[in-house]
Formats: sequence, C-alpha cells, structure tokens
Amino acid sequence: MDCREVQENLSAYYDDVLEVKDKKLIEEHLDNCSNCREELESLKQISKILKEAPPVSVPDAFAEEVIQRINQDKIKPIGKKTRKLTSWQIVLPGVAALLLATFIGISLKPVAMNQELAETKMMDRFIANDQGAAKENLALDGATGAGEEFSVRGSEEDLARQESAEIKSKVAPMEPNALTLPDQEEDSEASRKVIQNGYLRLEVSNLEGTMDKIAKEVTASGGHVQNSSMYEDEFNGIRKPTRGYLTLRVPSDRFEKMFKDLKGLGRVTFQETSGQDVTTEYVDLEARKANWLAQEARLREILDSAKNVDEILKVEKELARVRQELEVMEARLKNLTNLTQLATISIELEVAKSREKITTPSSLGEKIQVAFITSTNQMLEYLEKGVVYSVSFLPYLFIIGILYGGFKVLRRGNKKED
Amino acid sequence: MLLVDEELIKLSKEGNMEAFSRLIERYQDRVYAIAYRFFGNEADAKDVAQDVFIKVFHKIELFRGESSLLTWIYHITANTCRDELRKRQKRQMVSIDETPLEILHQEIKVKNPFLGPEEVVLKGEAERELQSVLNQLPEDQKMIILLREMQGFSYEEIANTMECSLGTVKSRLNRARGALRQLLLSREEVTAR
Repeated sequence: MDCREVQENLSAYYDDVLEVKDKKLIEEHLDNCSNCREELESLKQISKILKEAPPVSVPDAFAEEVIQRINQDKIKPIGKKTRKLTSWQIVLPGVAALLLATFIGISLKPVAMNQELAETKMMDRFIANDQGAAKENLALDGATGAGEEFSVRGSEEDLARQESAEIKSKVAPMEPNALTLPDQEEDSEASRKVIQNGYLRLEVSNLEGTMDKIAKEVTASGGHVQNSSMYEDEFNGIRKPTRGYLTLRVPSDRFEKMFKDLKGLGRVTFQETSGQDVTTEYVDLEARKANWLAQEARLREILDSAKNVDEILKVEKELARVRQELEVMEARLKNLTNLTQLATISIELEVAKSREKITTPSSLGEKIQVAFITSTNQMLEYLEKGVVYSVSFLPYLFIIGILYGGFKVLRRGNKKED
Repeated sequence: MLLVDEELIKLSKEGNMEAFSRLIERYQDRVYAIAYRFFGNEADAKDVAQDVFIKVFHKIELFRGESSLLTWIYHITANTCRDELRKRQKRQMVSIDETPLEILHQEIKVKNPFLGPEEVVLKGEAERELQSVLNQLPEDQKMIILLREMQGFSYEEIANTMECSLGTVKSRLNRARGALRQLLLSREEVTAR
C-alpha cells in the first residue's frame, strides 16, 4: 500500500472496521511511514476533541413546547371558528369562563354590548393560559353542567357547546387517553421511586448502650447498620467514648416510624428528612434497558443465522458492546432500587455535656418534655399541611367568590327594580 | 408504569400526548445536541430540534419498528438539519459562519497532550475553534462527524441514518476527517503568524 491508499483507509482503520488483511497492510505501512503515523495521530486527536466537547443541555420545557406546537397545528385545519383552540381540554375552562362572564354580563345589563366583546377576549385568554391543567379542567367540567341554569344568552352558549362538541368529535381518538391521564398519575403515586434520607443529631447519656440499642432496633425492623464509628475523648484524665456516628439502612416503608423511634432515644439537637423522587430516571433506565435487551435478542437471532466467520465476529463484537451497555444500566438500576428500597438514616450521637442532664426519657419530667417536643413537631407538620391545603383551595374560592358577588349584585339590582 | 419505547410509540400513535411527551424527553438531549453542533447556536438548535419532534409525531404512524426508534429519529434529525440549512442558504439570510457563537464556557481538557503539530490549536480556545471549524464543513461531512464522533454511531447506523451505503460512509467520514484536520491546521498557521 502506498501513502495515498493508506490515507484513504485511515479513518476506517482508526474506527477498526477494516478487514484483518487490510488492517495488517496498513499497520505495516504505518511502521515505516512517519507521515501517515502523524496523520493517524491527528485523527485520534480530533476524535478526542469532539468526544470531549462539553455536553449541551436542552432548554427547559422543551417537550411541553413541542406538544403545544403539535396541538396548535392539529386544530388549525379543523375549522374556521375554532382556530385559536388548541385542544379539547382547554375548551372546558373556556366554556366555564364564558358562563362566568355571561353571568357577570347579566348582572351588568346596561353595558351588555361592551361586555360581549370582553367575554370573547376573556375566553381567548383562558384558552391561551390554561393549557395542561387537566385536573382543573375536569373539575370545571362539572361546573359547566351546574352552570346550565344560568344560560341566559342561549345563542352564544350554544355556539360554545357546538364548538366543544365539534372538537371532541374531531379529536375523538385522543379523548379516552387524555381522560385517563389523571388516573394514571394517581396510580403511579403508589409506584413512585423515592430516595429517603434522614439526618439526626442526638444527645444521649449512655453512648454505647444507645448505639447497641439502635443496632438491635434496626436489625429487628429488617434493616442494617451500614456504618458505625465511635470516638473517644479524654475526660478528666479518663478516656471515654463521647461521639458516635451511625449510618442505618431501613426498609423505606418503615422509615418514618424508625425515625420517630430514634428521636425518642435522646435529646434531638438537629433533624432533617428529605426525599428525592427518581421515578423518571428509573422509568427511563428500565425503558432503555428493555431496548437494549431487544437489540441483544435481535443480535442473537442474527448470530444464529450468520453465514461466515466474519459475520459471526462482527455480530459478536456488537453483542459485546450491547452487553456492556446492559451491564452499566443494570448496575445503575440496582443502585437506584437499593437506594429507594432502603432509606438511609444518618445519626450523630453526642454524650450529653452536663452529667446531671440525663436525656433518655425515664423520669416523668423528661417524658413530658419528649411528648411536648413530639407534639410540637406534629403541630408544625399539621400547620404546614393546613397552609398548603388552604392555598390549593384558593382557585375554587375565587370562583365561588365571583359567583357569590354576582348573586349579591343581581339581588340588589332586582330589589331596585322592585 | 415502566413503559418501553414500543409501548410509548403505540400510545403515541393513538394520540396520547403524555406518552409522546415521554418519548420526547427520552430523546431530546441527543437530538438537541446534534442540532446544536450543526447550527452552532441555541436558538436555531431549539427550533430545529422541535421541528424534528413535530415531524416524528406526524410520521410516527409510518414507523414500523424495522429500525430502532433512535436511528429513525436521527434520520429525521439529519434530514431536518439539512433541509433547514438549504432553506437558509437559498434565502441567504444567515451565513452559517456568521452565526453567533454564544457557547462554550468550558475549555477542553486535553488529558494526554500528544506532541503533534495541532497541539497549539488543541489547547487554547479549542471548543470555539471546533464549532467554527465544524461550521465550515459541508453539511454531509458535518453530519457524519457529529454522528460518528459525538453520538458514537456505528458505520451501519450512520448508513441507515443518512441513507447511504457503508462504502459511502467510509469514504465520506475519511474525507470529513481530512477536511477537519486541514481546517484545524490552517487555523493553527493563522494563529502562529
């Protein structure tokens, strides 16, 4: 082979896709030609630069935007009237908004003409804003039915109903899926993969005793002690254990109880729990694994029907690559499963500084103290939940408020007319 | 709840947007990475990557599972990038060389610096150099480099994606790498002067 021939095949040689005899010829040439060697080196170098280029990450909300664009495209050809509607889902709040607006319209009879304009605008805005709020839409669906008795402007409402009916029929194949989605989400709550972590710092009177006790309790609950260490300090000339660290792994469903029990073992000086939801990562890994498995099966089929050694070698090389991918994936899955099945609790134990202060709840006073702390924590937890719930009710309150306000204005109006 | 591609594809064909959304999330990084390297800026990459998935959605009916979904999506990506580029060249709106490079905060780490002639180029602002050099490659060569070097495609996969023979892949890749090398070398000469 001369330089020209070698250089024509150098890239394939570098990628190791050449046949054995060609490979040999090139290797022989490379041994004697520094020019070509240099060229090969630069190939390697370029490849390296490209492979090491920093990964780029996709912008936020990328998938949502795509779905939005698809929905917009989908509706366009359907009808002249419904051009701005992007999905049947958002028609529902649109109708609800129309009803509300109609209602307000009635209560402000003198400006009815301008109101009409405002209504359509409002509807558009609802349509533009309310995408993706599937659950709320379903709730509003009920409201639409209830609102029927207010249908004063028959014609306009009919139009809206027609529109929604039209869209429902056109996008019919989509509907059942779309409807089941919220349920699916609820189902998946049960199969959520969450990594639970807890951190606890306790002041105890008897360090070794407490550590033994913890170890026993963990084993009894089906978990294990992953890590345990104890440190001694000199104390009035005597070396005594003063600090201990434990890392516990307990079954996730026992995590909360365990954490609570542990808190009863001494005076809590710091505590923290956290949960990391890795469901998406898990699902993705499972899916990718399944894909690789499918490919593996396909390669095996090919291997069975391979005709010559060369083919077999090629397929086997590919198989090895797939196996490698699979192993990496399995390892990650195993790790994730382990992390989600067993929650991690890290405990730091300190011997109480003052001797008199015995922190294991034995006397009545300490029991009261512990009970007090526990109930305070519980109360805080309930308060937090309460705040969350009341905030989540705000949208409903808003609508109820408008309806109520509307009623009042209407009544006052009626009285005046009387 | 663990859905493999096949199930997601089936659901997507039935119009389940949630399923399709999952598919997008599974492949978006790879598609975006190609578009990004192909156009060299975030805005174009985003537009084109979105176009790719819209096409995937409309064509998913036609996907019969003969190739892997990944290859199929890459095929659409390669075509979309090429078409978009040609459209632009026709309009002569944006010259690719002038496309702003708002990139590359990170410098390339050359872990094992080889004492070759390119070394000077390789260090320094290698990343920026790289993108602008990539931009100077003809589209076919650019795509093949992206697929082979950045996405780690095999020759077969490239052949499927770009709809050409293995021989073409081999020669085109060789040419692309040669061109890339020449461009890097000429840059080095410029900087050396």
